[in-house]
Amino acid sequence: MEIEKFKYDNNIVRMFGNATILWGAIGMLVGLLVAFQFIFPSLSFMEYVSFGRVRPLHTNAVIFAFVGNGIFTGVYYSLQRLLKTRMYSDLLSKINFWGWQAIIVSAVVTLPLGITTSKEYAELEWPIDIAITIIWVVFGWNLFATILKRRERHLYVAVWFYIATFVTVAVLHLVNSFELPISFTKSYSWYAGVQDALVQWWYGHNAVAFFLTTPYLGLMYYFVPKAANRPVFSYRLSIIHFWALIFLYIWAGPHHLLYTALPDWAQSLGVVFSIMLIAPSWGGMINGLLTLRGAWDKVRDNVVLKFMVVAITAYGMSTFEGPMLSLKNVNAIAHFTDWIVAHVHVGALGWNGFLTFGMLYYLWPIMFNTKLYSKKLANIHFWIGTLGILFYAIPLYWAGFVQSQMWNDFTNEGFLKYPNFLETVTNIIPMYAYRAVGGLLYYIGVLVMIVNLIKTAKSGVFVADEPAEAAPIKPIGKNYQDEHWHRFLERKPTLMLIGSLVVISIGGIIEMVPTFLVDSNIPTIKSVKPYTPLELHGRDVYISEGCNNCHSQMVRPFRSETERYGEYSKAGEFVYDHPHLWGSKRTGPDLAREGSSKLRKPNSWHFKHMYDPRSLSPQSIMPAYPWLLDNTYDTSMTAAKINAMITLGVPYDEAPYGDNYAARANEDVIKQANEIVEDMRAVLEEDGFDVEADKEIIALIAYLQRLGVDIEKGQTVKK
Amino acid sequence: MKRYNLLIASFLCLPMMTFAGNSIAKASGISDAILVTLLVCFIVLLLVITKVLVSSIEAIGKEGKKVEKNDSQSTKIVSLIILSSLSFSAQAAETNASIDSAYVLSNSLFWILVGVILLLAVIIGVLFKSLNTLIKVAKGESFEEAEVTTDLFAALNLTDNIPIEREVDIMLDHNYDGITELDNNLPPWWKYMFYGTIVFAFVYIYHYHIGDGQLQTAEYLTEVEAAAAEKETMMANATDLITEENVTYLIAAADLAKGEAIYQGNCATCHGQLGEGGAGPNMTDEFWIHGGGISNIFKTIKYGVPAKGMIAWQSQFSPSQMQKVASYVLSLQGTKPANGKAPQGEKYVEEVVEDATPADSTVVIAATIAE
Repeated sequence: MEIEKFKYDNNIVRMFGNATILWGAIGMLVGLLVAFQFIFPSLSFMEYVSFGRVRPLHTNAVIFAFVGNGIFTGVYYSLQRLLKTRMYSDLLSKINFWGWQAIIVSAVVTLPLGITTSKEYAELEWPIDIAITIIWVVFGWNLFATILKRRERHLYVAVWFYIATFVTVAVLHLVNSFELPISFTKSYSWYAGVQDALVQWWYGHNAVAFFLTTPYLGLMYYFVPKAANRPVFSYRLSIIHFWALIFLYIWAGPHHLLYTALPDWAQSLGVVFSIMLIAPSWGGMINGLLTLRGAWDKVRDNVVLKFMVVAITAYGMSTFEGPMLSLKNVNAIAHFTDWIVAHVHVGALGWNGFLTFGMLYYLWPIMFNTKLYSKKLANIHFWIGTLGILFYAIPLYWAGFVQSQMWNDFTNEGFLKYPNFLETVTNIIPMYAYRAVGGLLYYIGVLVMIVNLIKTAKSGVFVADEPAEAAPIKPIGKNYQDEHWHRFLERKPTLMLIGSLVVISIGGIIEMVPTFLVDSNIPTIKSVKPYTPLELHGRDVYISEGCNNCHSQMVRPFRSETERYGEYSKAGEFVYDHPHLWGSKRTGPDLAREGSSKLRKPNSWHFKHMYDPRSLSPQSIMPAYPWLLDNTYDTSMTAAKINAMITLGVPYDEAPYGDNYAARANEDVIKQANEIVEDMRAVLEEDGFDVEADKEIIALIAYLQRLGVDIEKGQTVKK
Repeated sequence: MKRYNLLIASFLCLPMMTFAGNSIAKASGISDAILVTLLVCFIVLLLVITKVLVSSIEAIGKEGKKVEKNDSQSTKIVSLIILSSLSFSAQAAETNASIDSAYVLSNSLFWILVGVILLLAVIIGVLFKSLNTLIKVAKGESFEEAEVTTDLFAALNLTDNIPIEREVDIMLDHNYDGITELDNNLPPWWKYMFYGTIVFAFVYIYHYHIGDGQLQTAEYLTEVEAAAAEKETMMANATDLITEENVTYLIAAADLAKGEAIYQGNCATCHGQLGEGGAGPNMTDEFWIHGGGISNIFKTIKYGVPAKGMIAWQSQFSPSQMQKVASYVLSLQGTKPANGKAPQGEKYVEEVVEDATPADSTVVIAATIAE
């Protein structure tokens, strides 16, 4: 048999590994800042570090920079070895690396500037979306070309997961990023209201599935058996849980929208598919943990395995908790609270974090041809990290549960026991403090790891090109016919790719197409009218400041919510909302009815409250937004915004607007802004404020005072 | 092993299906049709199991392979019978949902029955395991080889994997960068959990979209109606309901302290922590836009002035809470906080001082609170 000699590219692995460490340190530091802002709101001391802008930076940095680079590190290392070949092209590898880092840098720049689409985990604006598409294609090209020139006939389970990841992330990103640009830094989502929410959470949920889960399962399937030197527990289980997982995951998105204005049938699909996901998710956990059968003694003194065991356990816990949270009665308690934050951090810190650390501790000694600098430091990292996760999660579970109970508590006389939302927040501030401590512990662990890895690198010599040898694939003999069908599939990567694409498309299509095409899913409400141009500007300020990170705009059909906020939200209210702003967390109260007669506050109240929330509510933890009093909204964009809305189907081109409203829209802007200014001038000037009509604060007030107004008009007419 | 699959699957379905029946029949309790069906299932099950056991033991002396075939067939029959009787029970539950609740079985009894059946399932599982060992021994394997373990979990065969010592037997010829793969069976508990969740999915969709499960709007209406009914009873029984007509000024320190707590949490944001005013008017001077005095203040709090941004609080606070806040507000009269907002409205003079609360005491109390 002819043996070919070749070299594995370790350099690209090291580059991605370093990037993982660097961005992990930065992303988690930003997370710490965000955590401390809950206890010390004055940490939002300037616009660029204000909570609403920095929280997306934290999530994006950790998901796409830390875990993203972690994926590439693991894939570039394991793929070459599993296929017995060097990566197809060193150039593509480098483009992938530098392109991805450039995207991250652009996120680090744009998000603090308030350039955002507001769609969770897809906040980056359209030019960056295009860049992501290109770089992802480069990655896929490199991945697939490497698969095609492999020296191993069959694809190992890890590679199936990589293929499914590539295909699905591409589909998710493309569909969710349909947006209409109005300038280089601003676009509007193609979808409105309910549809936008469905697409967004189909994306958001499956970003968790196909960015945080499937690639990491692939990494687990490589690094756990390698580190334990044990055979994978069950090949059969791999097959079944792989296909079941990717098929079922796609459907579960609507569980993020239970008890919202999303049609009932879509919600129910979200529930049942989430429940059916338990077993396929656990299939991965079982295969990981049972692979360690007979190697448990190694877990005690092998740091790599230690980290991986905790990672797999955290994976098992959060994939059980997720489906439980999808049950309506559990969701009613947990949604919008810190319970969800705790849940995702068990996944992020435990599963993604610890698996990444395990992988890095495995790779560094091998790539630098040496031993780990200090086992003791690694053990310290392990324990302090585990402790950090516990300190992070447990207080937040408690906080979420307690706050939810307070929201729902009624007095015997039938009144809300805690009508003042703030009271439910101040009650859990100590829990926020514990959480920040947990985060700090975890972060210290990361710093310990960085020292350890640097010392390890210094003690060894880097092997940039690792020599290897293998025989090329021989043509298949004629007696190769009675193989198992899946074995056949495993040597047909293109079929695998198409198969994955088909399997992941079904759920999305069945949920989305009817929601888009069947009118009865979104009953129209006649009194709901498009926003005024000033309100549109205000809405963009709301988006830019990331208000939706703390304030929902979705009153759920519960007595406790309709008592607190007013009538529950209806699908027809959101038909002009590009994008939707339903939010996913209530650190502050819901704002869907902020302008309604039940909740409406004076304009001057909003003005002062934005300037300094604590001057009005001393215990508030909302950031202050003094810059809104100085920054002006851009009236030169008014026409572009109106025209974009017309393109998206908002009827500014019909009565009562008349022809070419875009050109006249600024007249309405000035008129409405002056009305607001005049209404509050006397009160504010007495307090020494300058009130000017062209400031962002005026637009934001206009928008807030509009919320919940239209549907009330409808009711008056009915009566 | 495989011949148990169908059987155990149907055991797992059993509580699920009966649970579905239970929730369908919830409105009127559980009819005795379910009880009858369950008993029928129970008896049929016992009979068939006995038959299987007997025929298997008979066959032990004969041929191994034949036994297996017989066995799996009869297992299938059992499952079929159970499944069909189950669908009968679900139907029965549905038709009986509207029947008069005289024939109702208590909920606890129902769950006891389900418990008994589950226990039975476990016992039968153990029986089958023993039978399997017997068969293996009869086939000539040594007892130690056949009898894996006597512990209950192992007897139920929850993991169904090959022990490490014998893993060479199931080692596949796969080798990826040194990683090899075993061909262990799917752990049965995992598999049946998966089946269970699939059954759950169908039951769930049936319950909410075909059956009479309440979707969110209906659920909300039920919740609100129940609360309204409760409130009505409460109101009917309340004798001393406070309104703007009969509200009185409370001067007890405890009442004013409660009023202050509500004020600081809800009112201070517009009227200032000391009542000095802000987005809303000053509360400490004697000028009032909507009238001073306890009755007017109570009224303004209760109904609000939506046009000017004053919220109507009646849906958020009980009358006695509003009375306490109104009293607290009144107690702020003349405190003259720093940065007081300029007077708005008209000077209010109490027309008739019926209960003759001395003006001084108001000031005294306010001063105490200010401290």
